[in-house]
Amino acid sequence: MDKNDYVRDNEELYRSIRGKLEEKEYILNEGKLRILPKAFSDKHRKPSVDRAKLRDNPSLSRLNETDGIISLIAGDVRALAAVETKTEDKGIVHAVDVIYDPTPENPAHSHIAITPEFFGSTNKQKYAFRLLSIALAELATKSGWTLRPGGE
Amino acid sequence: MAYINNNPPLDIQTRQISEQFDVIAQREDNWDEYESKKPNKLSFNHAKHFMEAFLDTVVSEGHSWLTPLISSDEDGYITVEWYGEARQLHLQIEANAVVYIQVWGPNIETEMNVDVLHRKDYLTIWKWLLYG
Repeated sequence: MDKNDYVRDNEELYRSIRGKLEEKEYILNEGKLRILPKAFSDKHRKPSVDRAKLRDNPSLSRLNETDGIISLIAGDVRALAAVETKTEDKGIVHAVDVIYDPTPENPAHSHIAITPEFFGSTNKQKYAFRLLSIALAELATKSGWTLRPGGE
Repeated sequence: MAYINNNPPLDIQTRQISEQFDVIAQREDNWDEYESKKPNKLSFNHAKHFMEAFLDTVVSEGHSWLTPLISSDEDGYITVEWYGEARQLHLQIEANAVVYIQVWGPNIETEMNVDVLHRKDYLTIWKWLLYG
């Protein structure tokens, strides 16, 4: 693996959040932002993020003009599940990881991957993606907007 | 506590829940453009009955009620979410079971708990959300 292919723990990641309140990806309660788990919905259960260092401007990560952008730190994402497996050939394997996954259209594209079998209970294994979505929403709520919906 | 509704009368609380179900009932496949399935009918019907029973249990025991966020997930299951300042309660309502997720931080291993919700535990889980 090229060293540039590895997403380092201190890297910032952008995620596009739909900007219209009726799309239920966030709520404002008495002016206080809460990002909802729905904001990390993904049919393949691998939510997409962009590596900030490969984007000149966070607005380039918006999927729609009305969207907002939140930032996550890769190390915080990996720390969402304090499960690590040490094997002689694989080293440390994260239950939650950030994988660089560039596409022709988006060289910054990465995804968040989860390995349910590393979780400690069968219930957590079964509902792993739901738990991941809740956890990512919690991180996103704490970080707040990098770019407000519709903002420049 | 966030998303609290200051305890409006029971009929208003019931209507707020009903209105959210009415919106969900209109969803078709790919309603969110993430290719999520439309709400599963068995899950939907179970969710409506469950919420009536859950609200009744909470209110009849004199506890505050918080307005939930009700939606459906990628697989068409109904989801219900309550957000407090320090705690969250998430439900996934399937055809024959209600699964609850207690959240008191972002760490999946150490700050979340997942289990099946039984009727005898309605008040216990609600009091955890309200009072810890």
